Amino acid sequence: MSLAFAAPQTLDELATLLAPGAGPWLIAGGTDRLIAPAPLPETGVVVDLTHLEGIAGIAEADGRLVLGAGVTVARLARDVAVARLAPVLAQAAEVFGSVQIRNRATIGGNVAHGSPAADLVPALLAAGAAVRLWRPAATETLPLPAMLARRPLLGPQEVILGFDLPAEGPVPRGAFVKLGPRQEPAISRLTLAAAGPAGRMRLYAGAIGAVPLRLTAAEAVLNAGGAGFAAAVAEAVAAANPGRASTAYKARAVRGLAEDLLERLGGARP
Amino acid sequence: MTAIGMRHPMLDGLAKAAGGQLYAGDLAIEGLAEAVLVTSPHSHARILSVEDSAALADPAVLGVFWHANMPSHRYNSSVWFEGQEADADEAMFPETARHIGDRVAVAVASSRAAAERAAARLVVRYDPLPARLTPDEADRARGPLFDAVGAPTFLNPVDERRFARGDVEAGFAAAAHVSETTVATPKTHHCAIEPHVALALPEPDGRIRVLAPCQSVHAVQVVVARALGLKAADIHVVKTPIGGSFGGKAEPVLEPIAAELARRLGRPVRLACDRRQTFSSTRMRSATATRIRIALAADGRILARDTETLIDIGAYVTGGNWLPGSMLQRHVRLYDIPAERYYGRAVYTNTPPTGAFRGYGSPQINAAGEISLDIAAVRAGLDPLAVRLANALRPGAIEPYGGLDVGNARLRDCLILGAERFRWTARRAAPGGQGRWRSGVGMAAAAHVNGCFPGSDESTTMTMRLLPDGAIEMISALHDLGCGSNTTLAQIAAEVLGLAPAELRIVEADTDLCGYDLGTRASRMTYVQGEATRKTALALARAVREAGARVLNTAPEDLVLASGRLARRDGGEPLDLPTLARHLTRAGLPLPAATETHAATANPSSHAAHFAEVRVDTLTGLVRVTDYLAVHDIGRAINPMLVEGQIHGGIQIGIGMALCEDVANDPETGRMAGDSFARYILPNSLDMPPIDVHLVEAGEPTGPFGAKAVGEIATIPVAAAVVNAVNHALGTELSHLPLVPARVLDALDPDAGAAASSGTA
Repeated sequence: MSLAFAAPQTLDELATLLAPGAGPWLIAGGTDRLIAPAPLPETGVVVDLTHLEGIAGIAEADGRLVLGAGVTVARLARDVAVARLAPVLAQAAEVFGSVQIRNRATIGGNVAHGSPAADLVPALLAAGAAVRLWRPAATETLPLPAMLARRPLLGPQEVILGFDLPAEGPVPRGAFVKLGPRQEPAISRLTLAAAGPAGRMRLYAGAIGAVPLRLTAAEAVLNAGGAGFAAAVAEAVAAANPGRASTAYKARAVRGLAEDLLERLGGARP
Repeated sequence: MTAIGMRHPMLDGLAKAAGGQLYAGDLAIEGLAEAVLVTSPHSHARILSVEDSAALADPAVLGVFWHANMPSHRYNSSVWFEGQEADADEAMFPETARHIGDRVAVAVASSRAAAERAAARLVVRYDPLPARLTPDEADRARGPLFDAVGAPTFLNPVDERRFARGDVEAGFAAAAHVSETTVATPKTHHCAIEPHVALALPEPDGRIRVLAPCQSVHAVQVVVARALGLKAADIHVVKTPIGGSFGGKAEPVLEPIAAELARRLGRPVRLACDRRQTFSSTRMRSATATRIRIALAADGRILARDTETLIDIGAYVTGGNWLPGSMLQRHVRLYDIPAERYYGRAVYTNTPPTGAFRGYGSPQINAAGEISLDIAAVRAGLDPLAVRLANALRPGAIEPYGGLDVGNARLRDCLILGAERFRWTARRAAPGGQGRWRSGVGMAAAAHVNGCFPGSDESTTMTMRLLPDGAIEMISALHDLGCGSNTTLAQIAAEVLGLAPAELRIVEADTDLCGYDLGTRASRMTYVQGEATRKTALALARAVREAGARVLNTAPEDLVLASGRLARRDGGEPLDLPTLARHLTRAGLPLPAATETHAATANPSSHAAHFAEVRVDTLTGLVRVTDYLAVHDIGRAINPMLVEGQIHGGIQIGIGMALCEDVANDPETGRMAGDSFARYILPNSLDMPPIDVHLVEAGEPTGPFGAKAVGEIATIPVAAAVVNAVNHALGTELSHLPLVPARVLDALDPDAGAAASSGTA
């Protein structure tokens, strides 16, 4: 009995490794695994998903962006197609972790790990992403909010293959801003992500709950031109988690984030 | 000068940068058992039982140890010599855990994984007790420290110190401005990259050998001996290369347990903390709350000062009883104040114990003094720099704490040079903005000691000798903590001996080889060990010239040691050291050797003036230090590059204390918010400002080649300089450190109700 390691290249190989009783422990970049408080299991198999065929692809089709789950955060931050079609995601990737973490961490891992402070999740939600899921002999595409509503996020033999982002018109707009205790690496205390066609942007706040929260009232203000936006965001954040000691601070500091977000969007100042 | 003043690279720098340096955690030793601590989840609880049958079922597990089956000798981990008296309130494994992270049990197994497994399988039953989690609460539980049978009571105060000079009331009565401020400083952690670790091995002669990254092998020897109920002579201690200490490894924490396990099991044992345990189960900087009243004359002279400080030393005394005195010592070394009153009090709380951390109380009392003085100056409408210049201690002053001459103390030079290079007057007057972003500049001054004189044992012994291969070996209680002190000392020896620093063979501290010494602490390496090095090198040089003269049949005065050989003033053929050694050994003549003991005769001041510029985001409360200038009264820089390195690192630690570092024990639950690098935020390279270092090299007559200390003072004025800059930027009087964003926002808008008392959440 010992711990084995596998890096399957095909979904058939993966299916074998995921057979019930095999005790698989899935990793992609492994950055969260590395610092996890629990030690590695002593038996079973660690399955590295990043060698799966096609898992690390970035493709563009009619303005839609098709991302493999194994795309690293560093690549998201520098890919020209991502910057053009999903600026919200490119900006989130830029301030994600640190250089070393960005080089290893993947978009799929960031979503699958399910951290409330995950930076890419609010960005993907704002971008209207759908998630492509696979389990032996089945694939399924779900809107990301539907997947995030599940507990656990993923079934025992389920793997994220990638994300599909809808076309957002000729000049997609989006912005991501983050409040952390220092420049980097920093676990986000609060993030704001906005993306979508003009007048129909989606606005999410991250790190104020188990999953990012869509700020519908503030979103309406944003889509109406942005006047009073900071106050609307602050109100939503204050209401999001009234019991927590940190909420009062976040509700005040988010005004700064709101200003930064508007500036990044190039929109009107409140 | 061939070596003094040279920017010589650290002798072990390449090995460290290339990953070649082995540390105690890396050593592979045949038969090595690994031990893992189990620590208390309670702030205060009796340990009723440890159920170990599940753990012992694994044949790889060698044993489980706790208070029921380990020696219960009480000791104090801060002592450093046999016979030293200290409040002994600590045991290897206490019957009652006194803080979250206190040592409850240890599991030993043939591998680290098996030991971790065994530790996880232990079932500990606790009887939780009421805990005193804040110093104010603890301060009310008063009584003697030990009961009638000598058992510790953990009542307070642990120690207190009062001091008065001059007519304080008259000073306040005559003041044009009286200002009162309370400054709070956080418990901060050293965050050395190398976690705590100790190795112990049974020796064939029955002694126990302890290998540990430590700051004093003799301290380890005596603490281990006391904890095990043995004699110091039964313990042989060797210092291993250190992956950072900053005071964190000054007190033996793991060594007694590792030694007892090796003795008990008859095999080598390594006990290593993980990162969380290094945070919660070792030592950290004490927290302080200091109220200061200052009487200023209209011209900025300080007429009187009244200081009261309450020091939270945590669960055990360790060296915390020294703090009220050492803080006073540095508090009164900075300014010439005619009337002064001080009351310092150290108290136990049920939080992790504190101990040495770069400056030993100085950063705390300096932050209190220098933030208070800044606020007093601003309230009085005076320039903070001018106030400091008006009161700065002058060279040759007699400091009021111990009546010692502060030597060639160049505080005024630091202030004047710093103000000029930083363009203080212009930048202080420049508008800092009225919008979201506000800028400001602040400064602070500092004084620190050089070693422990007049402490009775402020001395050290060094041996240097010529070896048969012609190399020169230096043996002393050398404990390079990673900052390059061995390189500095090698430069001093090399200068005298006419060698290149890398040619010295340096033997680090080993109780079998070196004379007694109190270790690397109190900024004594360069000033005390350096002078011992210089004296020993001079004696060896004399012996080498005498030996050479015999071989060359000339007079010693005709020989000069340079470039690794004996040159002749008469122009004759030089004699290199390997050839000299060969001649001597073949002729049956003794190889030159010298042993010198240097006892310090003075304790001069090192000074510094630091200047910071900050930019504050008034919406998020985040502060960025955007520019920094440090001037240090160094006497003479033996190695300016290492001096700058010390200053850069000191500034990084100080910025952390000012803005973000806090282990943040919850006042209700005792839980430590910052017990991982994910949650304990310390400034990293991206947060660091550009740093401009200037050195005042006016020479200290009692220091080696004029040198004075820089190691601790580098971090002492930083927190105050940064906080003063923030207060300048915002027009606030922030004085509760660290200035986490919530506190900054509260100060800007006290009515907004953020009431964010929680520091790092």
